[in-house]
Order: sequence, then C-alpha cells, then structure tokens
Amino acid sequence: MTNMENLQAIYREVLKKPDLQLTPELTARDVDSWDSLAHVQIIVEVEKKFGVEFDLDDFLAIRNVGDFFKLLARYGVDL
Amino acid sequence: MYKGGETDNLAAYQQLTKLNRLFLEKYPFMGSAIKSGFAAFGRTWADEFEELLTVMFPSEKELAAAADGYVRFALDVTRRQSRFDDDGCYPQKSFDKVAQEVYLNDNYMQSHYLPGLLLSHLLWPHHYRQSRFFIATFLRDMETMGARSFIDAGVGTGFLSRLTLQAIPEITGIGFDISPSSKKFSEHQVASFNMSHRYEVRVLDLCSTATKVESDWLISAEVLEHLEDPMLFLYKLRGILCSGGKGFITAAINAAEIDHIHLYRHPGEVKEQLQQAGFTVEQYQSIPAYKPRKADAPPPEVVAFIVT
Repeated sequence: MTNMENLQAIYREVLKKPDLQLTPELTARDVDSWDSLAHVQIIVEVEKKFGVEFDLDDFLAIRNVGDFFKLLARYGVDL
Repeated sequence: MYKGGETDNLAAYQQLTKLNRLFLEKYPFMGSAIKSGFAAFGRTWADEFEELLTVMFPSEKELAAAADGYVRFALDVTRRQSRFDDDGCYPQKSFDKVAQEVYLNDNYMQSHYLPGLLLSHLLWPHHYRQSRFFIATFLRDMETMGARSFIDAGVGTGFLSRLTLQAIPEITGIGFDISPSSKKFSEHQVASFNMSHRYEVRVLDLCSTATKVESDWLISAEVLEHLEDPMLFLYKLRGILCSGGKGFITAAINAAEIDHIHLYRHPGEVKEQLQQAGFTVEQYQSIPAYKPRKADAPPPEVVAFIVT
C-alpha cells in the first residue's frame, strides 16, 4: 500500500466510513463520526503507522485533511 | 424533563453560542460538543454552563483562551488514553516530577490545565453526571442537616467548592491544595460568584504536615489517583472527618492523564481502600466516560463515594 492508501485506510477505519475518499478540503464538519475522540485516534494511528510523533501544537493546527498532508510532509512522510 | 429537539434554543445562550462558534471555526472536531451536551442534558445543563461562562470568561478574549485551553487539555488526555489502551498502564512518574511538571507550573496550569478541567465538568458527560450526583446526594444532605462549614481537600479548579457555596448561602469553606495556581484559580472562581468572604484556599500538602483540621463535611474529588500512596492520604482524610460527619470522595479509574500516578483498575479497589482507612461507604456511583472502544481496553471512569 502507498502512504496515501495507508492514510485513507486509517481514516476509513476510525471514522467507520468504508467508502470515505480523502480530499484536502475534507473536515470534521463533513463526517458525523469525526469527533474529538476520533480525531485523536486518527493521529495516534498515523503516528504508529508512519513512526512519527507530533507535537500537541501540530495537531491542534489541523483544520482539514490538507493540513494533515502538509504536517506529514514536514515530518518526512511523502504522500 | 427535557424531551429533546431543543437544540435550536442554543441561540438563547449567548456565551454558549460563542463557545460553539469558536469550536466550529477553530477546532471542527469539537463541533458537536455543545449540541451533544444540550441534547443529552437539556436546559439545566445549558443554564449552568451559560452561568459559568458568563461569570468566569465574560470577554471574547477570555472565552477564546478558555476554549483553547480546553481543547489542548482534552486532546492531551485523549492521546494519553489511546496509549493506555495499548499499554494497559500509566507511564511511571514520581509525585515530585508531576508536581514540577503540572501543579507548580503556573503557565501550564493557568493556560490549559485549569480552564480545561473546569470546562470538562460541563463538556464531559461522565464529569457532568458526577456533579449532578454530588448535588442530588451530598449537597442535599448538607442542606437538610444544616451544614455550616466544609473542607475541600484538593480543590483543583474549585468547582465543587463553588457549587457548595452557591447551594448553601450561609456556609463557609476551606480548601487545601498543593498548587498555588489552584488556589488562585479557585479563589478567583468563588470571588467571581461574589462569595469570597465565605471561602479561602490554603496551599498545603495535607500528607506531609501535621496541621490539625477537622470538619463534619468533607469533599475530596479526584485526588487519590494523583498520589503515590493514596492510603496515606485516606488516613489523613479519615482524621479530618469528625465522628458522625459525611464525606464525598471520588477517584478516576483507568484514566491516563498527565498527572495520574496510581492506577485504579476497578471502583472496588477504591472502596476497599476507603474501608481500610476506616470509612463506611453509604452510597456510590460509577460512571464510564464512553462505551469501550476495544474489548480489552476499559474506558475511563469516575467513581464517587458518600462515606461516613
């Protein structure tokens, strides 16, 4: 699986949306199951999968999936 | 009783509406928090929350800072809980280390620990349910039996002290906490509700001082899990509570927070310790934070005991 496919699989699994398509514009407002618990679960699963550890300030700044793409790039994860 | 369908009435609550907007604009994943609370607990909850926000965070700037503090606090807790789900234990830390990192770190305490914890009393359903239990049982008994004073051992934000002072107009209270920041925050909360003449907080480690204080009414909420040796503290509490008096003592179970040291895996462990310290348990209520996410990962819980 590519990094993007792995990331998409994490979002689908945590949000329980098997058909979810990640786009840079996607936000928690678009997915009813995307609450704060799910948000952190996504981040923790991404940390495990890609072997990174984000600062709290980093993931506070995530407003949409596009922000997360940029954050991953800063931590050396190419999508 | 609230029957649902009233979430549109959120507009009637000015500060709650502003908090909701702040969450939606800045932290979309927090977007459902206010409406979920309203849907679950109705106008009583909204009235209490609106009052707290209006009194404690009246300006846009104060409200935004509190919202930011809460989100940082909540995300940090949730992240630690996710790790606890995998590890099954809290990271090993000494009390002294936690005190330096948290309780004596005024910037951390004022910027997100205390506002975060305070808002969690309304935004976390298990915390809110516990405060309702406190009001319906312990506070009701205090009122019925004509309580004139109380001690709050480990005031934290001062939330329960403030509820007590509000409910019983003539009562006076003394709080204890090791954190100067908690003293400042709690006394500010009580002063903001115009009750400062009936309350003071003393910065003191009850376990390591020979201070002799006693009361017929004792509150100690979510302190035990912060300690290396909760039994030592419980013996101290037993000594504070007068014969024939009544206490409200709570603990967090399976809750991995930055300053939680002693891991309680089941409410029964707290009950056993209370009895070992010489308390008689009259009543208790245990409330999980949410349904288990994984079969082998218990959710955080709060348990509250009414003891004599």
